Amino acid sequence: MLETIFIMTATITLISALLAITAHNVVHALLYLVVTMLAISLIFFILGSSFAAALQIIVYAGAIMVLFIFVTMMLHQGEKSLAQERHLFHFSTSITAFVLCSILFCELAFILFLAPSETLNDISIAQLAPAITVKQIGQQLYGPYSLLVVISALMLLSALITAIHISKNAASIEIKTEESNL
Amino acid sequence: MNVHFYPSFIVMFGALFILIQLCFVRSQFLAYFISGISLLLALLMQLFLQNQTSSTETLFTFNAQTSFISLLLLMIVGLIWAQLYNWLKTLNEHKEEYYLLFLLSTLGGLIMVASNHFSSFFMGLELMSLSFVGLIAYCGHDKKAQEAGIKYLILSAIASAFILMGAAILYLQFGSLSFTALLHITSTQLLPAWAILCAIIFIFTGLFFKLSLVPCHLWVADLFEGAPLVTSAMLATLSKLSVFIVLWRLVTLGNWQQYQLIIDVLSIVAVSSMFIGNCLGLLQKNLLRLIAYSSIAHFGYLLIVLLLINNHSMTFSIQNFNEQIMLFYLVAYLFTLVGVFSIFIQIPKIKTLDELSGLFWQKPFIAITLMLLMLSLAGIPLTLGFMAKFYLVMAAVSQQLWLVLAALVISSIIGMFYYLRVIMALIKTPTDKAKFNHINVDGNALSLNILIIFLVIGFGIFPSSLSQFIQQITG
Repeated sequence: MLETIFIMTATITLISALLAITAHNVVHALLYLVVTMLAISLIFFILGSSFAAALQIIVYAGAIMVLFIFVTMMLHQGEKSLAQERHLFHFSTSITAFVLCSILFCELAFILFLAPSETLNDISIAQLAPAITVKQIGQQLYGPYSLLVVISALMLLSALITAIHISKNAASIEIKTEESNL
Repeated sequence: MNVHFYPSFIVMFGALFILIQLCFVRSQFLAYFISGISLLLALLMQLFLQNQTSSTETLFTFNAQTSFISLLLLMIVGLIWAQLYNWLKTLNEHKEEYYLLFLLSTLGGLIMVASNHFSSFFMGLELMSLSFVGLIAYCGHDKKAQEAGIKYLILSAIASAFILMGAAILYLQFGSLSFTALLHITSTQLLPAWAILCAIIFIFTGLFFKLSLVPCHLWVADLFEGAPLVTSAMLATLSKLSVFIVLWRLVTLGNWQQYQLIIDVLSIVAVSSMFIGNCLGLLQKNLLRLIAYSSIAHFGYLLIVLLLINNHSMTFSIQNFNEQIMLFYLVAYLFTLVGVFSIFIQIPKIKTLDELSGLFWQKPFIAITLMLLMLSLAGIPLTLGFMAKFYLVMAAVSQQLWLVLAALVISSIIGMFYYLRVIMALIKTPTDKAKFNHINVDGNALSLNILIIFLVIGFGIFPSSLSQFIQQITG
């Protein structure tokens, strides 16, 4: 039973990832990406690591949506682009994402409410035996793996500096070219 | 806190100090000074740590070899750093961030060299490659630099994805991400052998990308050409050194030579890197592309070291000997390469062989240094490069790797052609007398050139001092 659910979820992950790559429209691609993230988080749930699943939804689906909103805010250019977007939005284009999402939802509902009790017992024996709590993760991260936290902080720092330097560069060059045009 | 962490911490604090300095005052000299002091302190600390007892933690392992390699890494970075100030003055950018990213990528290299765990290795790799993206695309207005930056970003992301996939499959089998766990042959073989082979090949793919070995070498020439010069020097030395060390450690710790397929893959990659690298270099006119192709070939030669660790028929002393050969080759090649790049930094406007023609008659000292370095890369006797190649051939003969050995000899002869072409270009009669007037030789560059000649020729004539030192470390 659980295997079927896993296979379905994995298929959804793969299909939506493929669609995210092949979609021409950025918005559609992002929506497929969100579906991928949701499916991956369901896989985490099936594996019994609920914390990772929650993080997956909060960080990836959440952060990506926020980024998406930022980008559209920055690229928003008034009536013309609105009309363009209106033109772009059809129910028919979102139907695949919708179908994939609804399959995921049905699976989740099935696991929660409709699964026969013996499969649930199977789950609890096979999967949930060493349930990893948030506390354990924190203890590991600030115990033997504390240096990894430092390294990842430095990694983010270097990425941040790179991004700022390159984008600032482009901005200053633009100003210069505008001045020369004037 | 373990003493062995201090050099990395010093480098990290150097980077953070530059960050704090940036809040208050933008001064290139101060950033140069801070980075120099932190590199010097780290170097001294590493020298002091050379005699410390080895220790292994969850994430890192420290022994005589790793501290020697860290020392080598810091020395190379220091040599590159010495050229940084004058070179950065020619750029039309903010300069302080370069030092920051420079130190961060050095830190990434240091982490990788000492890593004993897939997570620390991966984080170090990412720290290094993310900093490299910044260093490559530093001159953002330059189209070529932009292209190179995007290329490196995407390709290193793909390489990291491959490595992650491989590590995940290995985790499934061994139940731990630690490198030492790779040794344990678990009683319950969870995965079939082909899955483990797949994982190993995934990891190889990622690492070969970084080392620009043959199936994954297409990016390297564009990158060397497009990136700022100092960044190319860092890419050719720091990045490749630390990735190769990780590759070597994985192969030895995991005893991956037990699989015939892996040996085949390694020999095919080694042979094809030697040939393709050298053949691509043959008619190349651009100096940086030429060096890029030669670095493909040189890492092809170095892969022979991995083939040597054949556990079926060997004693412990031979293993030590192989390790010595690897370290010797790395020292020889990397110092030569740093020398070549520092010459290139001294002649920043010369990009092709034609522009180089006649340099000998105008700036003889620079030209002589470059000639000696080219001879060392080609492996002519009395240079450091010859000794390295000599040891490599000796080891290959003792293990009877005839196929790879033949490839090494033939491709070295092919490679000789383009190294000699550079020298020919140098001693051609110049057409235009005034064209080298922009090259100003200051005392700093001169002393660096003398140091490089001393290293390349001195260790080439008296290799025993270096090899004894390395013997002491591995013994």
